[in-house]
Amino acid sequence: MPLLIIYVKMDNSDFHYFIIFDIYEDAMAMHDELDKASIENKISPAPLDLVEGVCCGVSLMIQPEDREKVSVFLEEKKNLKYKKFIKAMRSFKPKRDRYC
Amino acid sequence: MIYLDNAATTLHKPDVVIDAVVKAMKTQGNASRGAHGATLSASRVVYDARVKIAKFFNFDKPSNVIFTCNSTEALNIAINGIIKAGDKVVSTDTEHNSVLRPLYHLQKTKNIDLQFVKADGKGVLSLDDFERIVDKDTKVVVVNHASNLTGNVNDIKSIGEIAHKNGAIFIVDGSQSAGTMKVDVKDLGIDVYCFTGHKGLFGPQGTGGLLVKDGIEIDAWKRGGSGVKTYSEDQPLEYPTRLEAGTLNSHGIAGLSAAIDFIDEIGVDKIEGKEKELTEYFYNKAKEINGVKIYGDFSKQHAAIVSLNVKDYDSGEVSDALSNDYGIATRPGAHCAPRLHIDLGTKYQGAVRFSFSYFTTYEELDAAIKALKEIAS
Repeated sequence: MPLLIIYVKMDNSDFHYFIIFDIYEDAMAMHDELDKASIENKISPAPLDLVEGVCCGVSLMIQPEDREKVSVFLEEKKNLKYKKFIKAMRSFKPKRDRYC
Repeated sequence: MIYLDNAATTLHKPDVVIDAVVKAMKTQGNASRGAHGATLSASRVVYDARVKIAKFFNFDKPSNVIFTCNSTEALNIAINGIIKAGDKVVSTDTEHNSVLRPLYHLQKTKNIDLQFVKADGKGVLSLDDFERIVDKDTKVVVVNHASNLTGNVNDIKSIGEIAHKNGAIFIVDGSQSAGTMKVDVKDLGIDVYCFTGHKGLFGPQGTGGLLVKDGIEIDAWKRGGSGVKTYSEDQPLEYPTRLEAGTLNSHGIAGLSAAIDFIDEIGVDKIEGKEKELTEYFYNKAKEINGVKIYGDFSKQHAAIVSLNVKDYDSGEVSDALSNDYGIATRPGAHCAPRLHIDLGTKYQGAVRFSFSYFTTYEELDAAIKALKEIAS
């Protein structure tokens, strides 16, 4: 009997991009600079499965359409520290980090 | 009560500081622990405080602003985390026990070569003595920015230059300078600046920190939860996490952050100017009282501190009379500055320290002068 795989997509889930950091301070600094550059980014839990737990607990989630813009931004802003810029499936909740 | 013990802690805190602490206690979760609203609120406050403090001291790396619970803790972290067995260390007779005791401990346990620059009869340090004692073997120079006993402000820039031309790391105890005078760590050539939040900065007790210049390595002094790199067996190497294991005092840090805003709004130059006028006013009146002897050099930049004795009276008796008979709070005794008291010849008498803040009034100073005259008569 063939194995049947059913892929259930979570509501609002899709591939997004994540900037991963070593420490929170780097994440907060990047968050501020992305905001200043008007690039949408949301503080969200780091996708630990993809970074093997060796990062800080938060990441910055980026909309897929902003991937290229962020790549250029990261290239230009050499003073901002980050660990990785990766792709993962997570939901982009618009109310994330509304307190921050 | 007339509170003239601001070098110990400022009693009068701005309302914005108190409000910020209360708000923090009602809204903040644990900073750097997750991504929900309450933790992000705390993380934001802590991060903003690092940025503000860095800017306040003209320091360009907010992530190297390390929070501690006071300057004693900051100094212990710096001293114990930099100095290794057998290192030569130069400090001064004007230091507080927050510098002296960690150094004595290293002398006993790690056999460091510990040498001191002596103070003269006014508690002043000689740059020639630094030139003579600091050499290429010196690993660290540790000096206070302003003495907590005499109020003398040390020539930090020149001492830093002597340290650096010999390749030494320059640690400064800013307990009495932070918030009371302009401190530009880059211009002054400071490698590690240790400060407390509850004195001149008007923040809550339990706050303080150190600014660590890029490239200065300080060993972790405690290890534990950091909210980052959980599966690593070692404390993360990155500052500030390297030196900040465990939950931060983010409620206090919120207050400290508001205090920095308060000072920025007034201007630290204006605060320094007012405190200078208050100090000169008090000094000029006190020195005219028969039987009063004042310690320190008032011809140069000076913190808002005047320490004195009345005749040969025990300083504790004088301070007690000021408190009980006149409602004036001062600090008698040795002020945790044993070497300087020995140099000044006041080991057995101590001294009565009057210390002022931006909130001190001339009426309060007049009342203190009147009380001193009566005690001395």
